[in-house]
Amino acid sequence: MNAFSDARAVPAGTVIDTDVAIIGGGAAGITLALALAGKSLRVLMLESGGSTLEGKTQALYSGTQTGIPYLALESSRLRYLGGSTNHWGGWTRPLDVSDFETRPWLAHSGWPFPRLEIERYFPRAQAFVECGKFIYDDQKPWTDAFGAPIDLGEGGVYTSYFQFSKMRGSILPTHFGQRYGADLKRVPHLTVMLHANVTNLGLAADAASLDHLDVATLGGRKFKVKPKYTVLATGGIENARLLLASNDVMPHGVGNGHDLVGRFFADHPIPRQTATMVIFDGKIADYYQNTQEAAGAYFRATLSPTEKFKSERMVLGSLTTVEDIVPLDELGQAAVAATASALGVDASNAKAFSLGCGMEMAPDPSRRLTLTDERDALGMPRLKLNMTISDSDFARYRDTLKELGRQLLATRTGMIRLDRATRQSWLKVMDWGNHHMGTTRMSTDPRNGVVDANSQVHGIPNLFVAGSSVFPTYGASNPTMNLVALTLRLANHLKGLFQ
Amino acid sequence: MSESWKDAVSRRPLLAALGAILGLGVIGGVAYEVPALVRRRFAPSAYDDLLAGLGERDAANRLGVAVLEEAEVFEPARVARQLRHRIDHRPLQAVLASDLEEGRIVETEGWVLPETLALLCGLSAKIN
Repeated sequence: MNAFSDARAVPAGTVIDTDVAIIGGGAAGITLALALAGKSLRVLMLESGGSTLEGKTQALYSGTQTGIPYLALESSRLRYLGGSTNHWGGWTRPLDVSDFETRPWLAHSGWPFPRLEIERYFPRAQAFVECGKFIYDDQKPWTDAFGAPIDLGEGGVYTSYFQFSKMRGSILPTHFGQRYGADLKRVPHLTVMLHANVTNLGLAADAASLDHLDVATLGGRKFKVKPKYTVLATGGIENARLLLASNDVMPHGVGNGHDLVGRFFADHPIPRQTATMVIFDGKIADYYQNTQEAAGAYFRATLSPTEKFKSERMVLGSLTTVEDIVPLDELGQAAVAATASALGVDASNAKAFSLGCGMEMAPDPSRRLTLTDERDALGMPRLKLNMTISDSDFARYRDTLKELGRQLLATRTGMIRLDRATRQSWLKVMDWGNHHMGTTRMSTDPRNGVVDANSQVHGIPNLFVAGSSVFPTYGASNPTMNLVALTLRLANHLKGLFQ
Repeated sequence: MSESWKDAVSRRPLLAALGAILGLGVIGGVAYEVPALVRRRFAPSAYDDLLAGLGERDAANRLGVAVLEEAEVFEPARVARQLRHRIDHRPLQAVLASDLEEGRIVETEGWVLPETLALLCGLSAKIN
């Protein structure tokens, strides 16, 4: 078994040749390194951090922000082996079919291929994130073990399901660095180099290919890597930063001929207490409020808009979760009593539950990362994020909640109160998923995307991008398993390039 | 044992039975009359045919106050005409089911309600 190497031990001025350089050792980088194993390729993974969190390395992530309040750039991601899987929650769900489709009513929407293209990678991706069998909305194992879902009848909202990355000691999901560290060490021809910060993507003079990578350590040591192919896998924020900052040959940065790098940044807004759901008989299956285990997997129910509803009513994806039991005020009690009575149902045991949500955002080119004049300890320009969210995103989610309310009434199961009516009230309860997406979006047309359908940077045949930064539209599902599937697809493509 | 004593003895169960019957009658009467008394808290109106479907008048009234607060215009006679046309002698549950099937829902203080129910509650609150 090989040990990890350390950039601090590489002599300054060294030039390392390799077949594939992977920049970043998070979910995408580790998946790619393991997926390329067995091809006799010389693979070098360059990870900025060590095996554990180090303050000076983490501080390289600091940046500034404008727009609506958002998470601090240095705390919403982690810069050491395993990347942000070191603090992820393990929530997993495949993207919907419609997430890949061009939605005529949604500007900038659509992937260059249908979901079918990555579906075949889902089982292996599911194994990587250790979520057990791929069950999700094939709900029988869940309902057999814990009872029927809420009766929503026919309508635009249905009960769907999250699965969870395996919880060790009951709380921790799979941390890729810890979980796959030993596996990485076993891969022949793979070198994992820690404390190796790539500071520049060195294009050839004609800008037609990537020539080399400039690598630096925080101690000031500098050397180069000359790869045949490079995969940028540093996360949805840092991927854009490195492309933008590599501007010695192309003044606007690598792959930024159409001013798209850093634009369309997205996350999943997670507003709390979006609505109050009353169930007249007070009974819902335990899997709505808490994670349960069945069929060897952890799961939890959520409430989603159907594909038909999304299309017909022009709403974005959302995953509504049932949270805590909450008291009702005097008007709420009256609303429940009057409504239940009119519907002819008994509400003497009614319970009210607060609802939370993970929402999809509409793509917005003004929600973007740009470089600033401020420099980090490596001399790299820091980022500024301009964060936005449109009122129509809230309105669209509200339409989904309203439909849920309609269905609850129609089945005489319960009713709903929408608790957010103004932009301010939404922003007041806003949290975020730490799911950085969109900044190197994928499109077959270089005018609309930074990478093509194979995740190759347009115009640079030996530079690829892995991770959720390539998502052109985002869906509501948590990105990790999906980006792992996409990375497995990229691994297949790369293997083909060496045949 | 005198006849008067015998009479007295025989009268006791009779009186007890009469008392019990009277007592039950009073209890029954109260049980019957209390809702009636409550109902009588709401003055008779020209809309009682519509409002009869509201089982929980107090709750409906409270909800109706919220409906009226959010309504720009609420003209009882016009609303009643609309409701009579919509209800058309059908049971309220069937009307509400139609509302929900056809997407006639409204929002009152965030509560998503069948439109007919909201209008009935508003009507109830308006006339009381």
